Amino acid sequence: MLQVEDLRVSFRTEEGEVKAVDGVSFSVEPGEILAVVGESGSGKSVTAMTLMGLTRSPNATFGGTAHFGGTELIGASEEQLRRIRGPEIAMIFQNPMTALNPVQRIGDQIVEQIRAHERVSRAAATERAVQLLARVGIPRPRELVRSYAHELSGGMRQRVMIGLALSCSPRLIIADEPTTALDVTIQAQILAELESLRADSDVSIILITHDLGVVSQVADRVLVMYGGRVVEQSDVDDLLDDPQHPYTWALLASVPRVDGEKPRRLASIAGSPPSLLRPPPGCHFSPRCPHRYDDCSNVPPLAAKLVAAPRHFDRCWLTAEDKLRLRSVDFERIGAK
Amino acid sequence: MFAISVFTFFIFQVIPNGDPALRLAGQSATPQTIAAIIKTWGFDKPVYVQYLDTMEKIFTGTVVSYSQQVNVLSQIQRGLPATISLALGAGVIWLFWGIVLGASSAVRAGRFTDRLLGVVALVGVSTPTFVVGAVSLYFFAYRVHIFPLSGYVPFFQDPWEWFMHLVLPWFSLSVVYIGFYSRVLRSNMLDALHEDFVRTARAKGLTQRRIWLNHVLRTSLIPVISLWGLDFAAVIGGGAILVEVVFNLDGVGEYAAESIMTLDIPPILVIVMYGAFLVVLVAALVDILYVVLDPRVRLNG
Repeated sequence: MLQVEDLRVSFRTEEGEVKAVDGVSFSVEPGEILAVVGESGSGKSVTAMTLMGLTRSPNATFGGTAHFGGTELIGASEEQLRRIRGPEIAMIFQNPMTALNPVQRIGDQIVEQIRAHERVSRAAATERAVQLLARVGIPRPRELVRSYAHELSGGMRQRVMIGLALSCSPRLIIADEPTTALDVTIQAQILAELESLRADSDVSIILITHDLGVVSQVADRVLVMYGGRVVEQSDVDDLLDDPQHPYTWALLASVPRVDGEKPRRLASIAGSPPSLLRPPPGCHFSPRCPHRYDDCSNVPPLAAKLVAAPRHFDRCWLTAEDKLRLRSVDFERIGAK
Repeated sequence: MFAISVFTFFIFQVIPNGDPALRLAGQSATPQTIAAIIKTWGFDKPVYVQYLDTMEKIFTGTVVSYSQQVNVLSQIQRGLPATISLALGAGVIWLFWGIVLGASSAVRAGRFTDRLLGVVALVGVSTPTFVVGAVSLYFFAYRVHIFPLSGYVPFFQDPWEWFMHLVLPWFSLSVVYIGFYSRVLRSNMLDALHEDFVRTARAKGLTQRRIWLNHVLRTSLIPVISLWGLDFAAVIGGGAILVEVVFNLDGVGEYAAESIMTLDIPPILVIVMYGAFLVVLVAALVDILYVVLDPRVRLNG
């Protein structure tokens, strides 16, 4: 349904060109939840927003392709994109506190989207807004449709955002860290909400997150991004059982486990994310990688399929044997697995 | 209010050559007449007693000016129609054009239109009001007789003449405000453009026009409206002294100017207090209006 090939996004800044997304390829099937994980600055949000044309600016240049249905998103005209935003692809943003207009009633914000795409009366659109609010679990929807964002809690606001995203029955929903700004208890509710969407319809979801716990809960496939590139991509179970890339190991090791036999020290990743102004010519993770060869920082590794799992890719120069050995050493050291 | 009245009163007590008895008495006054005046006007009493006396007269409406010894309050009342006419017309003009030019500038940010409007606004803000007034008088009233030279005609006497007499004053007074308001609105709008909810609006597939009008402009207008309320009150309070004098409108501002020239303390005091009162009143009205404009206030306030 969505096919992204070699997507490149770079921004001209005063200090030079920043390659925020550097050759990203992936695809999303109908009804699939794809999780995109990575640290801040890994290019995951830029990738997602670029699909909707939200990163367009005079300072941005784009490369590669993104086929969605019959449309090529990267070169689409503003008007083409406008028609796609809402009825085809909808977006849920990270911070529900600021993503809703503070001076417009939440019902009106939903009505506004419906009426931007369909010829329906205000009353009919309002009625649909009420239904949507009810569907995403807003109590007393007929009353709260007239409320303002500040009158609702964070979790309620995020539900409104989900209702807004659903209002024109999109085929793809991009959720950019939808739970990051919320309390842990609310996070679970919102995730359950997203999962039930998928169960009700065959909507696909791209879930951007830095939380591997979230990934293991809801995702079908996972994309691990680092420094604007995809370093590993796989079905979720496979990734958790058999992670291939040293960066993925490090990510997994930094997640607290409640089912571990003995408490262990959480691992942190030494160093800081690469500057995308002057990234190393080779693997972007190489400066922080404990297992790098000299050549790692000079020659970028290619995406390699795993023999045992053909839907599992990673970009690393280590051989399969080395990975197996080094991974167990890594996990041993921090006392996981 | 109290602080302002005290401050104004004492400022004029310490101004040199300010002895009101001397000026009341005239140039060829004998020491006896001066002494008599001091006695009747109470200038020999302590300063705070003089202040209290004046305040009492103000609030009982019996305060009179030094120079012509006419009732100050009725003088102000006489000037009010002209001043209110000036403020209403100019207020509408500068708010309208401030919004139009500011919004056009923001939509075209960084491009030629924006830069041109930026220069125009800068010129507008930095040209003194009396220069605009004098130049427009010269061209549109003196060289080409489109508009009358000066004066004020009451609305109910002749609406057309009322309008014609006020066009140039309205325009002259508005220039500075248009320049200022358009810049404020432009920067508000460009800030709003980076707000998350504007990104949401874009992600909803709205047209550019709707994004700008409904989301960017609407939220940016709120502070501009409150600014407008205060400036409007200041003009009604006699703040448009220069325009009123240049066009001889005979309003509250011109009365203030005359009184300052002759160091006539009672009218100055009353006008300052009345202006301050208006500003405070309008500030309160603006706060109430905010509740309508910005629903967030309802919760906090």
